Amino acid sequence: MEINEKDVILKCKIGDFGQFEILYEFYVRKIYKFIYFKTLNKALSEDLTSEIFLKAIKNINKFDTEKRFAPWLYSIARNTLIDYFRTRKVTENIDNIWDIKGDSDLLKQVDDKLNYEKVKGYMSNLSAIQKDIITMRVWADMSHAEIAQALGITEQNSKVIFSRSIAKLRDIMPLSLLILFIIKL
Amino acid sequence: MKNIELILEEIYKVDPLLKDRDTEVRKLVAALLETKPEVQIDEVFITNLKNNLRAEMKPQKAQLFNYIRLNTYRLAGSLATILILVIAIPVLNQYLQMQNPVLISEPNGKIINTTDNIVTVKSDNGIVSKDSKSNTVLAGFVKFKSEAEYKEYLQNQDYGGGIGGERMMTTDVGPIAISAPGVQMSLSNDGSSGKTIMEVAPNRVSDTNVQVAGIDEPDIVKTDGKRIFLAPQNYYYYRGGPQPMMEGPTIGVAPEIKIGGGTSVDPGIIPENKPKVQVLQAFPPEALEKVGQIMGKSGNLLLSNNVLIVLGDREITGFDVTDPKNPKEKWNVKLDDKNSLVQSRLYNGQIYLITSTYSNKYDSCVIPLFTAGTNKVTVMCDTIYHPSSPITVNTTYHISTINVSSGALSKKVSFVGSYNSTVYMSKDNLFVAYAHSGDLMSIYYGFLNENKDMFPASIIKKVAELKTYNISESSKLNEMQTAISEYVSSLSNDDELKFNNEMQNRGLDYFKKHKRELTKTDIVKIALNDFSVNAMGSIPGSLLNQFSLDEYNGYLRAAVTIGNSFGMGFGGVSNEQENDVYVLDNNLNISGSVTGLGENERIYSARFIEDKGYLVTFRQTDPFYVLDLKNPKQPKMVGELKIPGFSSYLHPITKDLILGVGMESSKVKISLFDVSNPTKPIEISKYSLDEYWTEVSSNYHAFLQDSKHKIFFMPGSQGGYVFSYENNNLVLKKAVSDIQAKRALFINDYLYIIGDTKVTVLNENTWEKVTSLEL
Repeated sequence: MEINEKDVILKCKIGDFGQFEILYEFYVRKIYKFIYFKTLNKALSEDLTSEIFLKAIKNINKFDTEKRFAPWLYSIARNTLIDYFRTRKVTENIDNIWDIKGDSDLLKQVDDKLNYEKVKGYMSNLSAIQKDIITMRVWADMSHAEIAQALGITEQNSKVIFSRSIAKLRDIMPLSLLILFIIKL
Repeated sequence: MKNIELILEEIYKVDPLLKDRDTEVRKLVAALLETKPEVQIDEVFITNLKNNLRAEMKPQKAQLFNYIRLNTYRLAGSLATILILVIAIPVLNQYLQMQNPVLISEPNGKIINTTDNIVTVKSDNGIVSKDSKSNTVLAGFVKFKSEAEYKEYLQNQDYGGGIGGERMMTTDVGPIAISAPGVQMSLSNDGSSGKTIMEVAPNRVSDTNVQVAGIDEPDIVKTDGKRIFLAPQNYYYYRGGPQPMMEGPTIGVAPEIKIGGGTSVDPGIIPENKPKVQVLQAFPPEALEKVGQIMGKSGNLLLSNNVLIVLGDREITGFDVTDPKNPKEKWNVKLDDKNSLVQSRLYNGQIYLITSTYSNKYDSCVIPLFTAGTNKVTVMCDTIYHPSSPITVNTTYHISTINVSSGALSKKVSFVGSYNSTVYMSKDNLFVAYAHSGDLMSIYYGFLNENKDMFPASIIKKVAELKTYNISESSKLNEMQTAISEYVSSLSNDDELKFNNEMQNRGLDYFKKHKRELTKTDIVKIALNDFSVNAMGSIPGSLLNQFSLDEYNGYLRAAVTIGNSFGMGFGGVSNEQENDVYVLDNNLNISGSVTGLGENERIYSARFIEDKGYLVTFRQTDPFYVLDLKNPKQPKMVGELKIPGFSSYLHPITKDLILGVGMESSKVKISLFDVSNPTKPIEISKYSLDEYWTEVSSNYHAFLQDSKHKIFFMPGSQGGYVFSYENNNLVLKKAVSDIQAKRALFINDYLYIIGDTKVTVLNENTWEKVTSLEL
């Protein structure tokens, strides 16, 4: 869907909610999925999505219309997630559910434990941006162009990082173990 | 599946080499697709949220809300690990060989160390360790020679954690230093006029709880005994509807704390909670009142004589607070959008700033850092230091200083590193450490070499050659995988099954043996007097936080955990963890070490006090280790105590008493350890607080000791607590419940408990409430 973001945002700044609604409809499900794939919990994802859009709407005035909206919105999403994880009783460096170790309460809330366990091994070996791009590409089915917008990188960046992440998953796991692991699935 | 074909096509377009391993890549992508979680979006939720948002939009006035920025995200309980490039000789010889050994020119070079065949030279270009016979560079920390070199270095690095222009994963400006007990800040005569109350000069004032006495760290509360400066952080949590800003947290849930720096306030909900710094007249307690404020600025504070420094998200401002009723802005330094504040310190009238920018090969060679007045401060990429051997870097650290009175900013030194950093400052040196993964190619090659019976000679030869190629590490790893994969696919089914089993068994054994090579922490030592890079070193593992480092008598002690999610994992099974303590000499070479502490556990807290070290590791029980560090060549673990729960903050009460604040069975626990006999540490007193959380666990600034009254203060989610440790016994002296306690400070014999919306003053002799002030 083609929307002239700049126009829409300029109108939002003067309080035209109808315009914000356009942005909302365009992004809310994407953001929700983005959050969901990192928390795997419906209630939490709804809470955080609400918080993200509220922050967006409150700060729309400060948004620089020369910039793109998606990276800004996704950065609010990321920050909100990190805040959330940070104030839980966990003490490791985490920015999503894949980084949590042990018997954390957060893991108990995962909607689908079975799949989580399978993929956790993969994910723990990737960097934050690699995790994001794999998630967005393979699960959220976003194109690299969309991913690039969301993360504020170029489309080429996204493709390269994605392919490197795949390569890295292979690098990190000794070949045969990788095969073994996949076969188990 | 159409989807998978599309994805594979994209991958191969970027990396055609992967096509050679189509089978595995296909399996991998298929596995990822298969494990995709089911997402069901509730349309009722979508509609409800839309309606809620509509209610939020109102005609706009200027909003002071500054949404949360990532720049102060910090690893919970840990600070940036300092990049220490230690030239640990035996370790480095193995695999820190440069791909293309070249002679590096060393203008004004002088030899600063000679050990065995290795000579370390310091020059204008940095530090280099060379094999004295062949002149091969073994390790170095040198400036980039050119923009091209800078870009090439970043060329094949991982984009670990960086996203566009966002500040990712940098450490919090928050609690950094732990104060040595009993340090008093010298009082200054501010000579202010316009007092309406007779001014009584206090004779005893507390400092922020810092790591090194005399080196101040930013915090939300500062005092000089006469005035108290507060930069309150506002809680903000939205659950589908507008919330009163000061809603208390549910029991058992940690409050949603705003990450330091910016405040997030909705003026529409509580108009008076805009970002600001409050100024209170503090003494005597009867005179406690609000006298002034600074509007529109908030963040952590530093105070030096009559200059109050506010360290915000995007800018640092110095205010003249000689007249507390009228703070005047003296100077202002703005951080460039891409520059994040990592840490800062105040020492000898200078602010030491550590900031970071995200390193990307697409960025320009001119990196903008600050705007100070009309002055734009930038750094050129060919003045940036880097380790000679390529490691994963995604961050460039910049050290600068700001003169407290004039605001003059001076950019000092910059170097690349990973985002996972720790900063520690002693009176002489600034140490910046960062963790990164080790040399995987060498590690794999080692495995092949040790298991020659599993692989044909041609493969081992090929991998040996690969190591010398001038291509990126990931490309080498790819090549190696291809070779092995081809071999495996040539085997019969029986042989393949056997091979896989052997790989599993021997692989696990091997990686267990080499776990100290998988993650390394490099440390850079920068002299405070001239900001020269004086040494660099490398140790295995990763640091927990700044307390994992301590400089004493010229030696740097470091406590690390080996084996964590940073390193290798086999299908989610992480390597068994261990913990080591290293003693590094003046040149950051390893002088001695104690290894293998707390098997299967990781460090939860560490504290070095003079010639002793204290370590808490944890899995199910909390071993409290006492280390004797008298002999830098032979540090040893001399005492151990196992108790349930763990401590995440260790505070030296006296030489023989260490206090531990942590958790046991989901409750906050305080332990008093008697370490007078280091071989037999005893938990002589213990208190279980009816709290699920205390800020002290993650922010030691929230802790305050008053050695005169033998008490300490800590906040919880339900209020603030004053404990006595008199007679080596923990006794809860006073609990203050009607306050969202954040900090405490003492002036003379009064304890001021600073909460979000009020300040309560207690008499330290009677523990009676003297007065309180609504903010």
